[in-house]
Amino acid sequence: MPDRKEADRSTPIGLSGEAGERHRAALFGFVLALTDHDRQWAEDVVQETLFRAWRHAERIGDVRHLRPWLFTVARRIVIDDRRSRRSRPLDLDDADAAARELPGSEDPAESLSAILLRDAVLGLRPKYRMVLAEIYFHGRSTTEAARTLGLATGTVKSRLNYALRTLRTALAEIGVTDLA
Amino acid sequence: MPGHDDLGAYVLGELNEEEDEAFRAHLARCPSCRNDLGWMSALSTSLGELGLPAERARPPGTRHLAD
Repeated sequence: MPDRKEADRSTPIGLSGEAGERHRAALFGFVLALTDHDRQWAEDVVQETLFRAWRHAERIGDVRHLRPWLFTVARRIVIDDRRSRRSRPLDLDDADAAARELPGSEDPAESLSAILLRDAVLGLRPKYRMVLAEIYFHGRSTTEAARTLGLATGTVKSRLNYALRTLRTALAEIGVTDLA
Repeated sequence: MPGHDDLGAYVLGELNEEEDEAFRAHLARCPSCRNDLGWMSALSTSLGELGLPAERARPPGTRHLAD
């Protein structure tokens, strides 16, 4: 059974305490590389990302989605920053548009890219698909997935990597580059 | 020893404190992992939102993400 408590969460608890500090450090490192090591810019992006995470906590839901969500949003903020530096200051309409584009705010009707992603997942060999299903569908950690599948954690981690790389290649071949 | 294989777990924030720190040090030295971090995060987010096809029928635990 899915964990009901997980679904009822309204704040990204992963952002507090020691785990939160690690996410913050990971996020800062990630953003720093994107901003060509402009520390001030990176700080601003991290602040904005964390602010959005608090505001959209209910969309992130499962704490395991937090880090990829943070990285994804931060990357979009940097892209937006670069764009607006080239053209004009960010106005409120842009900010609203950016908020609508946050991960998790898509139309509930399945988008074309979601369908293509699903197809790509179905095209994976079962041993890779099962690892993705455990992690992303059943919301298990790599350790829990390893236990469920009777594999070593290291094997789950490497299959996860392989599956993600294969998906990216498969998607690129059909021209889908916005998902990854 | 942290290496390329930990990237997926790092993206999911699943490494423990020591491993997480070690992987950040690896990232600083590894342009290939730095490059992969961005797309892997985006793909991971998309997969989390997807509610993957089940190997066996089961209600998706991530359904609330699309609410």
